[in-house]
Amino acid sequence: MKPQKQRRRRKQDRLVLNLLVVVTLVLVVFEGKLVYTMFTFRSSTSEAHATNTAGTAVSSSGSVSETEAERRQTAATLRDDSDTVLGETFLAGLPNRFTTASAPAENPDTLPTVSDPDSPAIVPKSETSVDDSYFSDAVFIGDSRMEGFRNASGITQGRFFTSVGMSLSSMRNDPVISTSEGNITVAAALSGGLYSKIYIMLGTNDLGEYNWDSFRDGFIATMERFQEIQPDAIIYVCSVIYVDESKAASTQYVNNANVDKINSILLDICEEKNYYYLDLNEFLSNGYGSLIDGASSDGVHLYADYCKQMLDYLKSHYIEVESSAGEGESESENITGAETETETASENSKDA
Amino acid sequence: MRKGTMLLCAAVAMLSLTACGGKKEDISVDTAKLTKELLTTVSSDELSETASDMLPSIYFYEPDDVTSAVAYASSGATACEIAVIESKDAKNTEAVEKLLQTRVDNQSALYASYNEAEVSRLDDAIIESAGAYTVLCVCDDKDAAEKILESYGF
Repeated sequence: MKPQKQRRRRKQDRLVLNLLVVVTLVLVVFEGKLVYTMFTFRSSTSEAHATNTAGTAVSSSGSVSETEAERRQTAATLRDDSDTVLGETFLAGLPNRFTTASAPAENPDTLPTVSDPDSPAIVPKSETSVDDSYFSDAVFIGDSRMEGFRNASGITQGRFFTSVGMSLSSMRNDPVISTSEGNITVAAALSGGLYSKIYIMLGTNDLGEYNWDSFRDGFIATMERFQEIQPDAIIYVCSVIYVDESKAASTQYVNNANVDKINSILLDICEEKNYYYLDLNEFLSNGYGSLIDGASSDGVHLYADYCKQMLDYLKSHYIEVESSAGEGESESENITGAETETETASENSKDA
Repeated sequence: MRKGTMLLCAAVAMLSLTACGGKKEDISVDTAKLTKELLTTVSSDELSETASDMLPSIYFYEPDDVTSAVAYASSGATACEIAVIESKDAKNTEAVEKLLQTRVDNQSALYASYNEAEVSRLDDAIIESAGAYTVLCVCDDKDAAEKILESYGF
């Protein structure tokens, strides 16, 4: 009986031992895998970081000899990579005071938004911001982007002569300003009041105009005509805001290379004629020569948040002027069909 | 005979009441609520509220003639817009309707050379009044907008 008992005991011990071995093996396999995963994850992250750093260094050193188009392509690739980090894109659209060290604006590899960053025509940021009353004697003339600004920024003062599709040609010649008596020309509308500041936002609908000399001459002639009508007004010329090419692909000429080109012309004109240049792309650029992601539904027209930021920008980028107008608002609201025809007629006679 | 006359009178009275029920002359509308509901009929654009100080120059009304006005407009991408204007005097709504029609006509003329697809949207613009209120609605779902307006007594 005794040896039988011993045998049974040994058998049980062996079974327990085998079970323990199996459990240990399972634990070793799983734990080991976990430890392995931890190690491999750490090393792959640091490797990826090293690769990214090297990639940036190569592209920044290589960009010296790159053409503008190549740089833009490189920048777009870099941007796409950075877009995977949630929130970074949004931060890029905020005014400077909200941006962090990771925002593209502070990246030395970002593209400048103006052809001459040191141009004296560029309106710098003031230490203090004005309020809406600064615009009480201002008139805003421009295309649908300016109209969107009026609609969505929350601005409460100022007169707006805007029109969807306004180009240089239609701004000069066509009845595109809506009144209770029908549409009238910009010059006729401008004649209906007295203003101290004229804000111009034009050029998006002229991006397909490759005869840039013609655009330049036409723009100067139009501004001179406006200055004749409002001799005491200062003229602010807003930069053409970048577009999101991926969304605005329906027309090939609506691209950021053309935006840069037209902006360099506008800046030149401002320097030559003592107008004031407002570089809106300072806060609307993604840092790589394109409109920041998520700023527009169609790649051109800005969402309300960005229109509000534009208003903040105008309030902090301004020139002190003594108001010689003030009465303009009430007068301009009473533009009648009779006035319209008179103005148009007098314009025609002058042109003739 | 008497029964027949009574029935006829009742029928006439019922018909008269039904005719009056179409448009309420003296109604009170929560303009903010109505505007928010009408916004649901716009799917192709994201409209933003425009500062009320800007509205007289957009819709051409005299501020002195209006009690309140709310408007939501496009960022420029489409012709969609919603405006609810409460006149001080209900008799003024006809004039406001004309001004809103001018606004629509002007926009149609401008969009014709810019984005023709928006012209048909403007052709479907709703301009309706009830009591002292006048509504302009340029949207994607006209039928839904009309149902909403009907529920408010327009």
